[in-house]
Amino acid sequence: MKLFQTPSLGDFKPPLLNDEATVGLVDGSLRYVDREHLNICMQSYAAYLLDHPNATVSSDMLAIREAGNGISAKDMFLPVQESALKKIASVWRDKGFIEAVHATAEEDPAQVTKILHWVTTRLSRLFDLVDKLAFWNEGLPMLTYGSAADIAITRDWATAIVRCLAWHPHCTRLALATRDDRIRVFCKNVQGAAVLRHSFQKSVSCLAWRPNSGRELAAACQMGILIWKVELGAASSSLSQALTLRQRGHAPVTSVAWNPQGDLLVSCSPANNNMYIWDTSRELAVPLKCVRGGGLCFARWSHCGSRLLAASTHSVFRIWNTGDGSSWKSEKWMVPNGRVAAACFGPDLTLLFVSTEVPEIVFSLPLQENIFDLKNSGVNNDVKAATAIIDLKKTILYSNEHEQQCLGGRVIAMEWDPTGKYLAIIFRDSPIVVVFAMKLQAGSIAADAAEGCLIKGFPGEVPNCMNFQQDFDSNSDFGGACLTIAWSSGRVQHFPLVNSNSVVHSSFTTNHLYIS
Amino acid sequence: MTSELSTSAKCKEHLIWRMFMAIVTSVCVQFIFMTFVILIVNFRIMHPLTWIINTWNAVTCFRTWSYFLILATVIFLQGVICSKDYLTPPVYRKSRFSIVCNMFKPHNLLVGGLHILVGGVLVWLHLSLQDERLGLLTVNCDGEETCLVEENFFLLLGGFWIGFYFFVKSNFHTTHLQFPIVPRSKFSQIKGGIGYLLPHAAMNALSPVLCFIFFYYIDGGYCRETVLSIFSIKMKDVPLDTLYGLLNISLFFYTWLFTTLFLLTTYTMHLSFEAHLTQRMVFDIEQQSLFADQSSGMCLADALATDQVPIIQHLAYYDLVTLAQKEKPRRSILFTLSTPGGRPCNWNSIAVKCMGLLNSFTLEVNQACATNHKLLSGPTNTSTSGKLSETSYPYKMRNLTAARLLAPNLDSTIPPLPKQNSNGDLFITQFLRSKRQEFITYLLSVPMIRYVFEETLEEKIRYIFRNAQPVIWAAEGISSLIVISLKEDQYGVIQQDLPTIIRTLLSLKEALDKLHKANIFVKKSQSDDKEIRQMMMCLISTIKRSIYRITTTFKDYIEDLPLEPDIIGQLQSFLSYRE
Repeated sequence: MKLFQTPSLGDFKPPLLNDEATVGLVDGSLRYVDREHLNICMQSYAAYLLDHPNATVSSDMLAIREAGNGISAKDMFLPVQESALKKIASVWRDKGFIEAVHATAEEDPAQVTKILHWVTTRLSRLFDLVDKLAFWNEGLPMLTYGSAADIAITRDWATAIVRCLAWHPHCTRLALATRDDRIRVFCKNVQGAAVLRHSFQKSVSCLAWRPNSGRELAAACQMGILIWKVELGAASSSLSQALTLRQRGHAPVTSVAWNPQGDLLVSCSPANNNMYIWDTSRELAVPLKCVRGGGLCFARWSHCGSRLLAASTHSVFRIWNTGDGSSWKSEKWMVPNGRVAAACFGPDLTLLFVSTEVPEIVFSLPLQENIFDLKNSGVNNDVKAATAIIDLKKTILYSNEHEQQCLGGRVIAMEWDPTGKYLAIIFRDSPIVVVFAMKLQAGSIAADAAEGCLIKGFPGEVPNCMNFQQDFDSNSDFGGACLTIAWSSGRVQHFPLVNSNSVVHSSFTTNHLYIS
Repeated sequence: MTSELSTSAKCKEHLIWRMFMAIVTSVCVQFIFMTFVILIVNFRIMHPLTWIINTWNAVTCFRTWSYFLILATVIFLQGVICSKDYLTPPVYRKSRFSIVCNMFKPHNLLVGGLHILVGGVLVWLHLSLQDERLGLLTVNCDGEETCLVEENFFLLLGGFWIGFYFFVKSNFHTTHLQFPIVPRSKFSQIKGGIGYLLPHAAMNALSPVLCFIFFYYIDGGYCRETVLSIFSIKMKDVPLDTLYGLLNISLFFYTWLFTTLFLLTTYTMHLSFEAHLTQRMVFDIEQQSLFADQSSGMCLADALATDQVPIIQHLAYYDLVTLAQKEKPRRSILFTLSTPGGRPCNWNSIAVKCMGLLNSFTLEVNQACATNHKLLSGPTNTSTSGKLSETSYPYKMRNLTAARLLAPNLDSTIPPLPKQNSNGDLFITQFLRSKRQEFITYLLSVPMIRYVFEETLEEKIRYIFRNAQPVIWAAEGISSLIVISLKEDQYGVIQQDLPTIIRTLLSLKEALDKLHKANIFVKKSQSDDKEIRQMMMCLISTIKRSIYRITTTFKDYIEDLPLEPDIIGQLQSFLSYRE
């Protein structure tokens, strides 16, 4: 017997199927606008969105990759003819003996005497062999470009114009990674976007702003991690500094996450058993071994920093307890089928997760410590259990006989806003972003979910990725949230979910940020 | 004085057990290495079963154990002697000359002797274990006469050589304990460390082996003749110190193997000390009353001040950060008021120590910057350091706590003035002094002498940043505490110190920025410098993070704080997240 019905997608009111897109949820009612009126209504939501950056990227703004490295450091400085030996010596000094051997092997034999060349080519082959043997036992196939697309929390990652986006934790600053392997940073009160490019920066699948820091941004790239120190405003692209971090066998990196204190960075790669914890300024990493479960897809820290979730490519996921001074310990959890597709922490340590296979159900896992310390009294403390809170079974909503809308199925991304009021979900096969209204009650085991709203784009648009603005609540008086969605057309929408009690907005007004 | 002594004794007591365990671990790891070497040496590709059985027999037999006992004793001794290095603060070595001088201190000579001994014993042990007959330096040949087995002599000499080589080399690098990025168990730390060290040691062993072979080619004959004449023995075969004799692959392999093994021994010793000593130590927050002796007995504030035993100070600051960020119950003790008097004793005692450390570090960095300026702009501009001490801490008396926080700093900022005697002696002494200074300057202008004796700025900065780890923790800890106090401190007394903390952090940031801009480490890129540069970046980023932490939390109250306009101006870039 069921005590209560888990909310499902069938509860939602079907969206209007016309040419209009939803632009905001104000006082519980959805606002629609069509394409023509979008630009006219630009300023009308200004009260909610303050002066949000206009962050839209259209496909013709993207640089073609080949043309992308138009001006690089190479063109700005005259080439210097160094003798091969000098070059090798500097490689030896900077990167060590092994790299020097590789460098020598690549040189022209005439430059570095034939014997030396012969010896070094043999040696470098030997080193490669040793490398191969050393990583052989990991038993993980080298992953290709495509698998990152499967793992990234972006719909159609390979073709999406905006591959991922991230809000700064403390201020109104948005970073977008676009398909042309550049990162664009939009900032409040700053004209124009900072465009970051780097030869190392290939197929970015995750971005993370460093907490307790203003301008540091970590990007998970195919070859490793890039830490940007973003220079805002003019000349940003030449003044921004980048630091590359890489670890043998730890590529492609699909996820990076800073801890809330901002001193540690964790990186995950589906090709590696280890999760690396970085001290970025010291360029040092500690591997944390996850014995079972294969490579890792993504990692997330809880808001308070005391738990770290690491989801593997198999059904196992781990929750590391990082909250006390002793060494970190992990708890192992499993999803029934598939792997964890998406997971997010809410306030007060509630974890929501959903797997890639059936059953498509959002589970809630409360991780709070018991108030009474049961360990000392000899009672087993291990009573934590995951409860199903939302059913995401594939559902078809009929608005009338001819028009239908498909919802649910495989989840791509799930985001919970920092205050814990709204949960947004993107599906692989549905053009609609589903938002649930969440309620967290003190004392109750699981989070309660209720019907929220459905966000739809203009005809033909599908959502690629999204992120809640992290400082929206503290910046505005409306006590809501702002969900930023990147649509497949390159439109980046700021979707306010607010209650405008006293604020003047009697007439129907919208603000939409869109340039095409 | 007595209390200081007892604190210091107490610290050592805390550490002795850890050190003992470290040495024991190191000996155990040594046994595992020995097993592996036996496994490698006995390798028979055609008979895997005999190979395993032979190894098993070799490892378990009594003879091995008795030999190993000797090695264990020597390693134990080495551990005991080396452990002193971890207890004393790092020595400031001004010039290359003082590095060499340092090498001849009795303690260091002892360490060197033990290194050489360990090198020799290691080789002897493995030679004896391989084959009883081979282990000996001499064999009977031609009836009664004894002959030298030169291969074994070569390997044994190689063992001594690597000990000596490593000792000399280690004098140019300082050993310091690196705390792990995240708290880890001892076992995983050692396991991970050895995995990293193995290829490292194998690589590092190559150059001393080549050096040794070269040395033997030139000087080997002389050494051999000396030994032959002392023990009046004969040569068996042709001498080894020819090009052909030294191109023996198996000999090279064994030398390399034993060198690697020696390097592993010393590295794992360090690793084992690192793993054991950097384990977190929990200190008491409250000053112990006389009859409460249930806990470790050292209070945090005392430990923070023990700069004579740096490891204790490190552990204390580490504990402070952990407490500030992760342990609510202990924080609540920190925020309590004393029962008679109602003063925030616990907080004050810790804050004073942290601010003192931050201030003195700022001062040191400023002084280094000032010398740098002097070097760059010639000797005319000498008043910089004096000016700094006046301008760095504009301060208004607001509360007693803050006054105390700054007190030690003010004392140390004033440079010692030369005594103004009214005597005529003064003139003569001053004259002599200036002449002496001129002479020294002249001497230092000679390149050779300068190379050996000059006090380099880089070395000074290196020394400063080698001690930067507690500063990082102090900034993290104090900023985390002040931020969390907004929620947890019921009395609100702690926030009185907020302006002082902001000022201190900003002045440290300013000093570091100045140093960073001076670009001292650009010229050279040694591996050591890289470490120091990274430490500097780490410190700068930590200080910024600490200020950000404060500004994000106290964003709305900054205007209400009693801060000078220029401090507010400096904070603006943090408030707009542009720093």
